[in-house]
Amino acid sequence: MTMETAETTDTADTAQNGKRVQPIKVLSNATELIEVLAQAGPLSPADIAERVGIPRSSAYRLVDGLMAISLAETLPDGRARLSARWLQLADAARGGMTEWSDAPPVLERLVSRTGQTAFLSVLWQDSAACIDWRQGRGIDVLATKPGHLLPLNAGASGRVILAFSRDSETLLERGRFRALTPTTLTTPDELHADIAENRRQGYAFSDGDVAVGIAGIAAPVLDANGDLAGAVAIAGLAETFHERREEFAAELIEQVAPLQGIRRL
Amino acid sequence: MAEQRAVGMDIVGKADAIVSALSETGEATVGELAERVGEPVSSTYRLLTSLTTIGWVDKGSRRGLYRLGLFFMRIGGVVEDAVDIRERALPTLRTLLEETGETSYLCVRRGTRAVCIERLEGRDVRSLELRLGASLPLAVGAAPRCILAFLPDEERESLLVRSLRETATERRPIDREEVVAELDLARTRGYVISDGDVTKGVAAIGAPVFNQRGELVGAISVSGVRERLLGQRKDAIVRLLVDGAAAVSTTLGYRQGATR
Repeated sequence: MTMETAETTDTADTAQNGKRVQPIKVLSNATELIEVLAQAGPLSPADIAERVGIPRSSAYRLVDGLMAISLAETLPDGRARLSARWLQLADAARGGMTEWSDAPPVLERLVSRTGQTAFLSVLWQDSAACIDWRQGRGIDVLATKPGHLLPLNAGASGRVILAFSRDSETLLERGRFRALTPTTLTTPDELHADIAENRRQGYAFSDGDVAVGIAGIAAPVLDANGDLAGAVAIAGLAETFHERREEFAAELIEQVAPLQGIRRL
Repeated sequence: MAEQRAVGMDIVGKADAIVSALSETGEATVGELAERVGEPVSSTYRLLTSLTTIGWVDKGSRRGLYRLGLFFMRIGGVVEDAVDIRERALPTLRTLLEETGETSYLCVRRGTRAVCIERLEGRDVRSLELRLGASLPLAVGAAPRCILAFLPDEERESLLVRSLRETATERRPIDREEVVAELDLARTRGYVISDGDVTKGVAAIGAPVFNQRGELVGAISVSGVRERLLGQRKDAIVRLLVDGAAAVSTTLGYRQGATR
């Protein structure tokens, strides 16, 4: 992420020689370090320093700083890795999304009525971010799960978010749409057609465009202003969805109805 | 300099105070947070602005409210994934050990290397290579070559080139043609056999593990004295390994035919 401003220091943060400290840099370096550890797994401070582009001494200090707040831990061989505290904080972050506190019962009802896995996703930085789920009976559909991002061109949730956002065109222009499977839509023409279809029928149908053999349906959730708040989806084996598409779509739209007009900013 | 350093780390502590507070309360206003962390509202507000910029904090469901950023869900999700594959692979590793008596491994890719993230010791031989947490270049061994063989085409060639260089530097030069042949063979038959290219006299057999998107996430392998592994029991061991890796893939959501 780019740092927009360099402001934000207290007078107490000014070093004795009068030079202004920029604590924001420490935080942005820490964030980089966290991203690097998430991507690459456990790393030595030297490797961290190289990837983040900071002196080795800074890497050591940052790792110590993150250890002091239990966000990192070191292995016996000296490599640092992210700690289990992240799992708790992930749950806490989900808990803070209070506008969606009525969603879990909806997801649970979808699972009990369709047997499929149910997901709740929101738009986040040009991606569809899954923020909640309830697992279906039978197989584990891991097409997405809380914290995971999918591009807006792949999967029912992303494509519904794309279709029902006021900023559709901007999202289309900005998107870097790669194919996850042979049937993923990637071109502007394909996506425009898809958007039109999804707006017309009120839902998106995903057939193997995220994972071959997995299909899904997503419906939009609009807020009190009529803007897109998120998407609720069910997904499972493609054969099942081919047989029961209409039934599932109707069930989904009906179950999601109580969430419409959700109150938020 | 020491002053800057102290202040720099101090801000990490202050950020944590906000993160902890938000993890307890869920959404909160600046005022509520300032009180909880015992800091002035002005500096709390400035810190919240910084934290929002880097994604640790998001604006809440209504004006004036703040909450933990989606950043925590995203990173938490990755951490959870890293934990999952080991847990889901353990039953298979135990079965492999019980049935074959050989050391069983779970490896994942990290950059140009295969890292051992789980290992169950065989009854007889204790191999010094690929201990828990250790790694090998992708161009040698069974699990590493398995990982290399099943990565997407776009990635494989450049990784192979880099890995051959690494191998030449830290071990000894190996024949590119030989490695490519082994990788091609692996893609046809679904497993890799390594015969003495890591340690003379030690053989290993490896099979890939895929996730629900058909992406390679790691490899399972067994290794031991070559006579035991590649002798009469070879086919049976290969069968166990391929079935075991497939079982792990299934628990990660993989479906036959999901290709990359």
